[in-house]
Amino acid sequence: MGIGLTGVSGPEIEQMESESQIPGLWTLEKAVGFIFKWARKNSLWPLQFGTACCAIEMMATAAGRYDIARFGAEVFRPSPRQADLLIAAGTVTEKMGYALKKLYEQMPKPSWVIAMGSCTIAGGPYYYDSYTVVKGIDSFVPVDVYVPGCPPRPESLIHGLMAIQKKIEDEPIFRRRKNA
Amino acid sequence: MTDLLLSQIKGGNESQFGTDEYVVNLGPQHPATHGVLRLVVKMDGETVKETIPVLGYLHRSIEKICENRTYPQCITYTDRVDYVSAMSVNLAFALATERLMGLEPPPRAQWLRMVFVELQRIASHLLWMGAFAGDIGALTPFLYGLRERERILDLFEMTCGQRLTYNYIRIGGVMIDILPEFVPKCRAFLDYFEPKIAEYEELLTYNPIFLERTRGVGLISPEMGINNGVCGPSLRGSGVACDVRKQQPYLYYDQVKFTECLEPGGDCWSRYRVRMREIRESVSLVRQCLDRLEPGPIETKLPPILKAPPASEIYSRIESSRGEMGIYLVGDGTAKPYKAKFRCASFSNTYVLDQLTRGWKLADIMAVLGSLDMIVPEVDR
Amino acid sequence: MTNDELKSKIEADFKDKITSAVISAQKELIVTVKPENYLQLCQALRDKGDYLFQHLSCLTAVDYPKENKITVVAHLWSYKYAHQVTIKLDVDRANPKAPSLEKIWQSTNWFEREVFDLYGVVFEGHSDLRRIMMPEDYTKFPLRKDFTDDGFIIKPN
Repeated sequence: MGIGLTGVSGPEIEQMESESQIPGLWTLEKAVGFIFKWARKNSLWPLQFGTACCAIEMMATAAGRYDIARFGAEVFRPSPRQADLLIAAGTVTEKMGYALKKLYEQMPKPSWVIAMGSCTIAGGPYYYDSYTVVKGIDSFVPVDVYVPGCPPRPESLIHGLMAIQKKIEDEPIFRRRKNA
Repeated sequence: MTDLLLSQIKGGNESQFGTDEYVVNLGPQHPATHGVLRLVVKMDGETVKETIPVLGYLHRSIEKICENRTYPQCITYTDRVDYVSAMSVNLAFALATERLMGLEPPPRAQWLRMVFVELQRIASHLLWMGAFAGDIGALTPFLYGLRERERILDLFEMTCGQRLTYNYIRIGGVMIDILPEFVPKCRAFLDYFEPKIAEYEELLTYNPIFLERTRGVGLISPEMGINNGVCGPSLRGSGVACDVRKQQPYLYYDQVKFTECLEPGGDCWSRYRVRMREIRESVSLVRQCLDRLEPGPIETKLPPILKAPPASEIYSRIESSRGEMGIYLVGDGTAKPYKAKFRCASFSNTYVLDQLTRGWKLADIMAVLGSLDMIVPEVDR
Repeated sequence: MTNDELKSKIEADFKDKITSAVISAQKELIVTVKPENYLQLCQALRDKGDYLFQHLSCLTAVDYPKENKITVVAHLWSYKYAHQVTIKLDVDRANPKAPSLEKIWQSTNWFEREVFDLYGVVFEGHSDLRRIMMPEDYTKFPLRKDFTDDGFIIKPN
C-alpha cells in the first residue's frame, strides 16, 4: 500500500546446498543427517507471535485438550532468538508487517514459517475495502506451510506442524541464504 | 570512599547518583501485551514515569469495510471485532440493526441469545483469568481456565459449528435452533462447572503472591474512572454501578434476577473479584434462561433485502464481557450502513493505563494491563 | 427523565445555543449545537444537576461529502438518571475544526485522536493530537467517503 513491504526478501531467499557445489557436505549429510533431522523435527520451538483471532486457537492448541506438547512444540518462546518456528497467527497489518519481517530475520536459521489463517495467506475477509491489511505475508516472509481457515481449528494447526516435521525430514540439513 | 558511597546509596546526594530517564519498548510482539499492543515506557530506574500506548498494529479497518457490506454481511465482521467474546458483538450489532429497522425477534430467539451471551461471558472471563494470572507469573490457572472453556466451546460448536467466530446471532433472531440434547448438556456443564469456580478461587484469590501483586495496584477512583470513560467490570471494581443490563435493559434482562457485582476497592484485586463473581452470576443467568425457554419460532420474517430507513441513526449499547459495547449506525435508505462505529470497552479502558501506572514499577504494568481485560482488536478494530 | 421531558428542558435552557433538538424515529434525542456554544453546552450538560451526563460513551464523526460537511457526534449517558443524548456539531469539510472536549471528559482524548486520524478533523485545544491508528507519516484520511489508496481495493458488487 504505497509503503512497500515487498522486495527485500522473498520465498527464494533460502536455497538448498546442491550436491555439486560442496561434495563433502553431502557425505556428512548422509552419515549424520538423520540425527539432525530427528532432533530438529521433535523439538520445534515456536515463537509466541499471535496477532488476532488465530492466536486464541493457538493458545487452545497449547492448552490441555489439544496439547501441542505431544509433538515437542510446546516451548513457546517470547524471544525470536530462541525460536525456530514462526507461527504467524492472525491478521498482519502493514504497520505490523515491518515487525514481523524483523522478527523473522532475527530468528536463527534454519527456521520455518507457518501462515495460519486466511488473513496471513491472502488477506482473508480483509482483502476488499481494507486500507491496512497486508494481502498475504508471503510477499515478505518465506512461508513453508499454509493452514487455511478463519480461524483454523487446533487440529488443522497440528496438521500444519506435522507437515513442517515432514518437510524437515525430506529436505537436506544444510540450507544456505542465497544472498548471505 | 566506601562510606561516601554507602551514604549516597542510602539517600544522600541524588544529583550524583541520579539516573537518566530511559525508554523501554514493550511490543508490538510481547507475550504480556495480549496481542500486538505496543507500550513505550519512560522510566527512572525501575520506576515508571510515563506509559505511552502505541495503537494501530491491528487496525483492520472494519468500520470502512462495514460501510461497503450489507447489514447481514456485517455480522461476520463483528465476530472479529472481539474474538474472545464474539457472541456479544454479534448481539450488539443485531440489536442495533433491529432497533434501526423496527424489528422484534420472537421470544425464543431472545432467550437463546441470552443463553449464548452469558455462556460467552463465562468463556471470556475464564480466558481472562488464565491470561491475567499468567501475566503476573502464575501459569497454572491458564490450563484450568481453558479446560472449562473448551467445554463451553463444545456447546457452541454443537449449535453453530464454529469454535471462535460464530456468526450465530443474526438480525431478527438466531441462525439455527438448538439441538434437543443441548439443554441437558448445558445443564450438565453448569453442574460440573459451578464447583470449579471455588477451585479457581482457592488457587488465586487469597494466594499471598497474588495478593501482593494485585492489592492496591492500579487504583481507579470512581470520579477518575467515570471521567476517563472506564466501563464494565473495570469500573464496577471501583464501586460504580454501570451495568448496561441494569441501566438500559435489553433482551429480557429485566425479567431475570441477577445482582450487579460491585467491589469498592478500585485496585486490580477488586477487578479480579468482580469478574469471578460475574462468572457465578452468569451461571445462574444461564439456568434461569434455560428454564424460561419455550418452543416457538427463532426468527422473524425479514424482507429479502434489508434496508434502513433514510436518514435514520441509532446508538445502541449492550454490556459485553469487557464492558459497554456501543454500536452507532447511520442508515441512508440503502442496504448498506452509511456509517458503522464500534465503541469498544477496551479502547476506553486502555486509555487510563498511563495514569494508573505512573510511579509504579515496570512489572506492575503487566498486572494493571491484565486487570483491565483489554484485547487488541477491540482497541484497534 | 424521559426523552420528551429532556427535550423540552434542553430547549428551555439552551434556547439560543442549539440549532435543533429532535426525537428521532428510533426514539433518541438528538441535539444539534452551534459551534460557538459547543463547549459551553457540553460543560453544562455534564455539571448541571438535572442532566449529569458524566459519561461520554462515544465520540465519532460522519462524513457527508454532498452537503460538504463532517458531523462530529457525541453520545452522552448519565449514570444517575439513566438517560441518553446525542450531541451533533457540523464542521466544514474543507477546513474541519472543532473545539476539543478533553477538558470536560478526559476520555475524549483518544476518541478525538481517532476522529482526527480517520477523518482529519482538527480538535482545537487537544493536548496530544497525533495519528493513533495509521502510521505517523500517513497523509490521507481513510474513513472519508472519497478515500482512495494504492492497495485499497473496493469490493465489486
